[in-house]
Parts: sequence; C-alpha cells; structure tokens
Amino acid sequence: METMINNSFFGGIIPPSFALDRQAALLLLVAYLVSPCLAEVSSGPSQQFLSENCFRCHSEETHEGALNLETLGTDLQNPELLSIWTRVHDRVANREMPPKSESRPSKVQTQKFLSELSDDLNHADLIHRRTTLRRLNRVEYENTVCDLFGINISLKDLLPEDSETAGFDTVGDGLGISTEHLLGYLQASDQLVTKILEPDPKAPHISVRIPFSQEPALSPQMGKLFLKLDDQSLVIFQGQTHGSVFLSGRAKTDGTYRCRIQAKTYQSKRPLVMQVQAGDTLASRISRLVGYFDVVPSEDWTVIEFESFLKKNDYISFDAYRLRATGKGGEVFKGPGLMIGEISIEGPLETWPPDARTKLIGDTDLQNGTTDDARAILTRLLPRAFRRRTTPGEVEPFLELTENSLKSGRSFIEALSMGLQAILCAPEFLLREEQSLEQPLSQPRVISPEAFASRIAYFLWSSMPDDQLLSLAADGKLDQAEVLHTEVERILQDPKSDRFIENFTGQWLGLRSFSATEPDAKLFPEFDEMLRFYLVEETRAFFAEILDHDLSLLEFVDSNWAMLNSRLALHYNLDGVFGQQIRRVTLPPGNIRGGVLTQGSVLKVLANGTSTSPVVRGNWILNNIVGKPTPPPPSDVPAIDTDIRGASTILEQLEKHRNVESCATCHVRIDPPGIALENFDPIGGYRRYYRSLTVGEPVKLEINGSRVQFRNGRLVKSSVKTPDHRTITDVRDLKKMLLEDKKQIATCLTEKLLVYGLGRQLGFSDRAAVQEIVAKVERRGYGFRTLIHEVIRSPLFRKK
Amino acid sequence: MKPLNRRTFLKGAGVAVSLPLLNAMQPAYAADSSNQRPKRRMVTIDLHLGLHPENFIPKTAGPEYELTPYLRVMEEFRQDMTIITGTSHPAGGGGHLGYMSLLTAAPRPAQPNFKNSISIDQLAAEAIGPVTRFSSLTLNTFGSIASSFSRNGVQVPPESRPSKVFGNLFLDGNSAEKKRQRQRLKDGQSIMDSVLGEARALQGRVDAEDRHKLDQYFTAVRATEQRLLKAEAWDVKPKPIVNFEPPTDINNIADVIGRASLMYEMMFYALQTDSTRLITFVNGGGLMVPTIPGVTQDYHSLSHHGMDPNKIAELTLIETAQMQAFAEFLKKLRSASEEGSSLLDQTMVLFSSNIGNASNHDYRNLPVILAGGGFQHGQHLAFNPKNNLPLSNVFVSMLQHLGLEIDKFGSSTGTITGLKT
Repeated sequence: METMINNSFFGGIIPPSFALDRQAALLLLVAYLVSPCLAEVSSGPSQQFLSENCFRCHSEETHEGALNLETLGTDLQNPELLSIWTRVHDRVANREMPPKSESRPSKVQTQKFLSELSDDLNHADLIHRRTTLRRLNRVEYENTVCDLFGINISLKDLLPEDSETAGFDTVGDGLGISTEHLLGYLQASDQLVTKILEPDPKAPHISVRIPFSQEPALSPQMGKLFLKLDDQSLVIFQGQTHGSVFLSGRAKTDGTYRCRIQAKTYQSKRPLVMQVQAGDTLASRISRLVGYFDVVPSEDWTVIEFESFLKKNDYISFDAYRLRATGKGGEVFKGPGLMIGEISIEGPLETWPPDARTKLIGDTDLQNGTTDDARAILTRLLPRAFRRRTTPGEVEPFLELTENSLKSGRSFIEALSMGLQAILCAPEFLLREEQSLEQPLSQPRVISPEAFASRIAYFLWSSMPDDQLLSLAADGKLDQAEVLHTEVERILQDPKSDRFIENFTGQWLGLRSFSATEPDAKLFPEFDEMLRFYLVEETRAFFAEILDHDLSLLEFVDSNWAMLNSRLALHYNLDGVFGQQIRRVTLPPGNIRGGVLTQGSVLKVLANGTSTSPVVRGNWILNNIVGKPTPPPPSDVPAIDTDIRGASTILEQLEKHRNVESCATCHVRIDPPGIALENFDPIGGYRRYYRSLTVGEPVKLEINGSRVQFRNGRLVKSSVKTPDHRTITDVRDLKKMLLEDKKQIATCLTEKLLVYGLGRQLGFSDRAAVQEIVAKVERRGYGFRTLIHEVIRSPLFRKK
Repeated sequence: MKPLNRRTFLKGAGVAVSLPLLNAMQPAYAADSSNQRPKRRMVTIDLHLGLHPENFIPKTAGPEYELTPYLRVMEEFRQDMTIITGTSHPAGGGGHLGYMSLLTAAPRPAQPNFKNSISIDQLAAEAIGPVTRFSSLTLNTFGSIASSFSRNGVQVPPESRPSKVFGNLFLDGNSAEKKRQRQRLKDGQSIMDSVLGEARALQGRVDAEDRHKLDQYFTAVRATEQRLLKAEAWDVKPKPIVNFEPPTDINNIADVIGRASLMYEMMFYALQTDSTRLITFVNGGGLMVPTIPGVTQDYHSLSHHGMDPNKIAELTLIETAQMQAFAEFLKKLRSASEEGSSLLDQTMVLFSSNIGNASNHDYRNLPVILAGGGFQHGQHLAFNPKNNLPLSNVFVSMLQHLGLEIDKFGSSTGTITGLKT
C-alpha cells in the first residue's frame, strides 16, 4: 500500500479521508492486483517536460484555450481533473500538442512523459471505474415481467421516463429511484398480478369467414365509397379511411388473432398496396400499423395473412393505400380499386386459462388456497425473479405478507397478490445486484456467474436470463469458452434478440427519437406514413443483416448494398426494387447510399423537421461513428443566429466561426463531416437545392397527385476542406476518409456496446481491454457478430 | 374545508396506526393552524417555445415602463405583476431540453452527464404539501415533459388531460372502486414496509458505492409510504363539491390555445378549492399548426423564424393568443376571493419560459412575469442583458415568500433586488 499512496499524481497527496477509507483501500489493492502496469512506480509526469513544452502557452499568464497547466490541480480523484489530464495525454499522444508550429519534444521524451502520465491516469481511473447497482430501466422492467410470467402486457408507460447517460438508458449512474418510480411499480405490479390471477373470462374463440361485402358495418356506404360486385366481392377505392371494419366488432379480449384476406386489383394494371391497421381507432384515434401488403394484378386471389395482437375493443381496419376517392361513386368510377373477397378472422389463439396463470400457480385451487400453496408458489418464483439461487429463508418476508392477509380474512387471491407484488417491488428484483454471493468482499470486482448471466441476457435480450442460461451459470459452465459461445449464439438466434436491435439502434443511432419532429408537409410532401414506417425498418434490417451474417462492422460506415423495398428505393432514386419486402439490394457502383450515415432514418433524426445543421450532423459523427467527441461549447457562446432572409448561408457563417480561434479548435473537426452531408435534406432525400416556400424557382413536380409548393432555393455545396487540408467533395469522400482509420471506427462501436452492456461509462483504465477486443476482431475481418462475442468474453464483462 | 376527524382517520388507517404521525395529518388534527397567516401558493408556467423578445421586453425600466405588444394584452394587470428581464440560469443551455432545468437550476441540461436536482415546487411541497389533498400538481398540455423534478432529479410524471385532473380533484369513484382504492393504499404501505426489510438485508451484501444507490431506494420507499398514508387519510374525506361541469378533453393537439385554456381552468379550480397550493404547468408547443386564423406554419418552425417577417407575424398571432389565455387565468384568480383578499393575492404566478430566444435557442434573457402572491408589483425590473441575474435569485425570493427558511437555491447569489412584499 505504501507505494500506492506515494504513487499519486505529480507528487500530490491522496486526501486523508480517501486513504483511510477501508473500501477504497481494498479497491486500491484490487486495482493493484489486476493492473500490471501499476507495478512500476512512476515518479509522476515530469514538471520539466511540461515547462519545456507546454507552459509557453498553457501557463498562469498565457492559459491558451482556457488551459493553465501550471496551477491545474493534480488530484486525479477529482473527475474533472482526471478528464482534463486525459485530454492532455491524448492530444500529446495524437501529436496535436505541442502544435507543429512550435518546437516539439523528441520521441523518447514524449514516450516517457506519456507512459508516466498514463500509469497515473490508469491508476486513478480504475479506483472508481465500476458499474453502480443499477435499476432496471422501464423497457427492461416490462420485458422482465413479460418473460418472468410468460405474458404479453404493456406496463412501461406506467413508469417514469428514464434518462440517458453517455447515450444509453442502461447506465446505472443515470437511473435514479424515486417515489414516482415506486408508485409506478405498485401500480404496474397490481395490474400485472390482477391480469394473471383474475384474467378476463374465457372469451369465445372466434372463427369467422365471410365475403367482405356482407360485412354489415359497410352497408350505409355501399355504392358511394364502395362497389359490390356480382360475385359478392367488394371494391374499395379510397385510401386513408377507417371505414373498413372487421366483423362489425371488436376483439372481446386481449389476444393474438389470425386474419386472412383475399384481395385482387380492380381496373388496375399496376400492383396496389393494402394498408392494415389495428387499434381502437374510433375511441382513441390511435391505431398501429400492422403492415403494408402487395396486391399484384392476377386472375387469382392474393391471400394476405397475418397475426396481430389485439387489445380488448381493438379492431382491424384496412384501406387501399394512396388510392383516390371515387368522386361520383363506385358504379361509374374508372380508376383503380382494391377488390376484397373473403375475409376470415380467428382467435384469440392463446390457450385459456392463460399460460402465465398455469405457470405461476400450477394446479392450486385459488378459491381454497392455503399458506402452503402460497409458499410453494412464491418459492418457485423467487429464484427466477431475483435471477439467482435463493436461500430457503428468503421467501419468508413475502410469505409473511400473504399469511397476514389471509389471517385478516382476505381472499387467497388478494393475499397471494400481496406477496407477488412485494417481490416485484423488492430491491433484488428492481436492482441488478452484481455482487458475488460466495466471494468475500476482498474481491469485489468479479461478479458472480449468475450476475454474468444476467449481464448477457440484459445486453442481448433487454431482459432476465432464461432457465437454461441461469442454470449453466449456476453450474459454472459459462467459464468454458465453447459453452459460452454456443450459449451466446443461442441467445442471438432467439427472437428476443430483436430487443437488442431495437434498443441499441434506438440509442446509438437515435432511432427512438425518429418521430420527435414532424417534417414540414409543404416542404417535404413526399414524407408519408409509409416512408415513416420503412425508414426505421430499413436501419434495423441493415443492422440485423450485419449482425446475422457477421459482416464487417465497417459496413456501418460504407457498404455496396442496402436493405430496400420499393418505397425506400423511390426515396433514394433507385430503380428496379419492387414490393413491400425489405431485402438486400446491391447498390450501383459509386452510389451514395451505403452505410448508416446516408440512411433516411439517421438523417431525419439529426434534422429538426424543416432544416439541417452541419454542426449537429458533424458532432454526431464524431460522437457516434468516430468516437472522438469534442468538449461541449462554452456556455457563454450563443447558437448561430440563422438568418434565412438570404444575407448569408449557414456554411458562410460556419466559415466565419472557424476563423475565430477558440471556436476553431473544435469546429475544424466538427464542421467538415457535417458539411459533407449537406446534400441530404431533413428526411434523408438527396438535394441539389435547398427547398424554400418563399424564394427560388418554382418546381414543376407532382407528388401523390398534388403539385408541390416548394421552390428550389440556393444551390447546395458540400465541398469542404479538412483540418489536414484535404478536400471532401461529398459524402463518398467522407466515408473513404472515415475508413482510413478502421481501428478507430471499431473502437468507437466497441465502446458503445460496452457502455450499453456494462451499464457504465468507460474510462482511461478500460482502454487496454477495449484495444484487446478490437485487435481480436480486427484479425477476424472486423466481424460484428464476432465483436458481440468478444465483448462478452472480455474480462470487463466479468468485472463489476 | 372540513378538517379530518381523528377517529375517522384511525378507523380508516387500519394497519397504518402504528406508524408515527406525519406532517400529513397536521391540518386534520390541528384544525386550521394554517389560518394564522395568509395562505401562500405558487404556480409556475413554462411557455415552452418562449416569446419573441422584441414583442415582450419593455425598452424602459421602472414603474413607468412602456407597454410592448404582448404586455399590452396584460395591461389590466399592470399593478398585479412585475416584469423581470435580464435573468437566466448561468449554466443553462440545452435548447428545448432546457425545460429540465427551468425550475431546478441544475447546470448544463442535456449535456451527456447531466444530473437533475429538485425543482422549486417539489422543494416547497416538502414544507407546505402536507396541508392539501395534493402536495402539488404537475401539468402539461401534451407529451411527457414536465417542470417538476424530485430530490433525485427524477421527473414527476405530468398529467395532460384536463378530464383526468378534474377527476382526481373532484370525482369520487363508486363505492366498490373506492373500497378497492382504499385497500390498494393500505396494501401499498404494507408492501413498502416489507421491501424496506429486503433493502436492509441487501445493504449488508453491497459495497460502499452501491450502498449510496440503495440509499436512494430507501428514501424513495419511505417517502412512498408517507405518500400512501397521506392519500389514505385524505381518501376518507369527501372531495370538494363543485358546481362546474367535468371538462371534455380537446383531442386535437393543434388547438394549442384551447388546450392551454382548459388546463388553466383546471388550475383555477384546484387553487380555488385549496386542493393544492403548488402547480407547475408546461404549456407546450410543437410541430402542429395551431388552429388560429392566419397561422399557416407549425409552431416550432415559426419559433425558428430566422428574422423572416412573415414568420414573425404568424408567431406573433400565436403568442398574443397565449398571453390572452394567461390573462384570462389571472382574471379568474383576481375575481375569486379568499380570506378577505383575492385569490391572486394569495397565489404567486411565475410565467416564464426555458428559452429566451427560440429562434437561436438562446437560453439567456428569459421572459419572466411574476404576478400576484401579495408582492408590491407594477414595475419592470430590468437586469443586465449581457450579464444576467441568476433566475435562482427570483426563486429564493419566491420560496421565502412561501415561508421556506432558505437563503440559497441552485446558482443563486441572493434574492431579487427591487421586489417588495
């Protein structure tokens, strides 16, 4: 310990309170054990190096860039100082400092300085670099209760929204616990338990098959909106109506229903699209899209078949996408229509009593249940709810609640509910306990095998581990590399891994905020409901394609293929892609659309609906693709006052900006990648001109049958000089340039996965482990699936 | 309001009897101890997209300040309000996400490691919340954003449906529902009590840093127990009987003013019946085209007018209507009387925004109107537009006026000078 305490930064002193803290001392000891580089005692970065090479600009008098190294504190337990000295390290290591214009130290001197500094940084960072006891976020909560009980229930809206830290809502530091949460958990667990123990009475299994024209709800509009043909089939001409109601009725109970619809085109030589929605659209005006289905001209019926989860009172509606109204009525209308033959609906497909109930209570008679029954039920549930083996005594407090209720004369269902609700509000359920139960506190940094299993499950399923994973962990089998590999493959192949795709892309690529802004309908009339749906689907499919086939993660930056269907291809000006199915399409040589940067989803997320900003886009690329963020702007700098009256363009303003030295430091890095994307409008369409409603040339173009109102304003320029004086002409150059440093791209994505999976921010002390992962993946062609495996295999994934 | 009868309480409290008596019960026992000094209330309004500064900020300061277009709408309240300009949070920012810090003064909203802290209403609720059925109300017009944050910096979930607010304030369920609700409140307390024991057991297994997190859990569980206990105590009291009709929610979110006005009405009812003394309201604006004659573009893009005169003209129509809706609210408060003075004199109303100039997302020079509450109003307090007064200074003055014994909040450097009670 002696050497450790003397080994403080710049000969500074570790505060006594810190040195005396037993826990911290233990951590120090462990840090010492696990980090070989600390074995060598550093004498602290040399004052000589700093005074010879840095103080000329960063001293008490000069403090350029608001940095004064002469008097900057050296207590690295202060997170702010730790981050400043880390930046000093990185800028010297990248040979950005001292600047080229100054005399620079020799390589040997620099190496010595850096290695001493990095030892100190490593040491200081390691002490607090750990995952805090983290709460399930609300997505994880909902998934966990669904998987725990085998039920389909939506509860997350009862819980407060979670905040993101370092870009993810899995990071423990940011997940607060408040009264609002507990009130939410009480309410959510009440709804859940009621649904399981007192399910809706068994609903009749519906199985109906009728010609659609006989649907009674349609009769009032017959002949106006619709046309009835001799063979009893019905033609609908109009899109965007909610007039087409299944079975004059609604789902009598929550459940999955299977629907089949016969459809044909009518008076149309081109394929048509049927849009199907589900929901209680009359009462709440909220409907969710079930899907878009192709109907191709043919003599035979096209059978559209799907299963959809309906809530009680929901119904299914469908319309002929984008077709126009009949005007004078179906009888005389000569335009295209969608012909509907027989429809059938069957459901609910789930068994009754619900599986969740059987699974929970077995064959217990709920009307005459006893304490022993309750004990059996709660004992069965507890280890799965707590995601670890439990001791026999642990069930007692929950059982006691149930027992007391029974004694006070409450029904068995009510009494059992109390115990169940308490388990679901208990810290062991809500918090991710990652301490090893067997290990003494002297080895606090290695998590238990079961906690490791939970980490894997929450990483790839956003939910609890299943029985197989938990029992492999409990048997110590996950230590065998092959078992672990097979298990991770099984987890990735399970449909539950879609949650990883949804939640990780939702945050890394910002897809969760895809609908946060609404594109201006006059400026971007082509942004329709179908495009809104498919843009997000495209990016998820792209991510899944890379993951499923272990393609190179560099394809996220650029690829010679894309995941497209007809609507997406239209948006991207590509020919030859037909139908609704999103599939892999090889792009023409030199096409701009490979990779995520040029996908409409990402571009839309980075715009505000009406305009785009190179600063926002450039900053996003640095943060999320390159992984070299710039510090936030000083708070006293106002945002650029955009003046759209035409006095200056944002590019001209940015250029002025880059000429101010204090702005330039960051903006020479932020602006170029952003400007390279100028050719993309707020919905990800390609533009040569900025659209405007007031200035510029009127545009002769019809979209969906209406003449557009926007005009072609200024010409877009996307050419820009990089800090090293190279020219980026457009986004293709940008992608090439980004791919010059493949390791950096891999490092960035590795870090994102680690933050998401470990639930903590990364620090200086994680760098070696990250580089180890990157090196392994590099040898395997940067395979993305390989990366997932390596992240899980990394020692970081086993450490608290 | 009829104080809670002790026997009724004990009967209703059941298992909770063994718990210590709480502040929550005080007005029920100590009858009208709160009558000894005037009731004090606080309402805050965050007009989410701000106000076009040119139309709001008077060019002259002091009592003789010149009316600007927006203040002309408020003219009849000249003696009931103080215009405060040149204030903001020193480490503000975050564009529209600045709403998170408006009432908390937490630095650098929306930066990667932003941590929020308690908002002024929740702080005040710790002191004066117990005396009313609802410690505070957190409202908005749509979506999930709110001004109120708990001690741990967690956002208090907002309510955007006036019908729901009305229901909570004034409607009792049928007797079966009431019975079930009361049972839930009791069960909730037993469950909280039980999980507290679990947390204690867990405490022995985790290390120092995790213990800190576990402390959050403890605090939250205890506070939840109290919240449930209080709810149960109030649950046995009938809700106030009022003679206004339950509102019908306006589903069209483009009816920006209609929705705001309806919520203002609910706020007035809540204050008039003394159901709560603390309300925060985020009056949102977004991507809808407001249903106001002459407005053709969406509210948000109009707020980014980029000095385009046509856009400013449309924006002015919206913002003028917002000022009118606010003036209506003040009018209602002023015309209702309580304890010999107007309800407005007993209620301080802070009308502001998290954004000073929406066009360039400037968080400085926030628009602030402080109305009512028994202050000596009738002037424009103009602080330095280049070097703003911390908005927290205004908060300290307000919180002191509410009766809180504090002299610091957030980034405050004192109270606001020139504002007299």
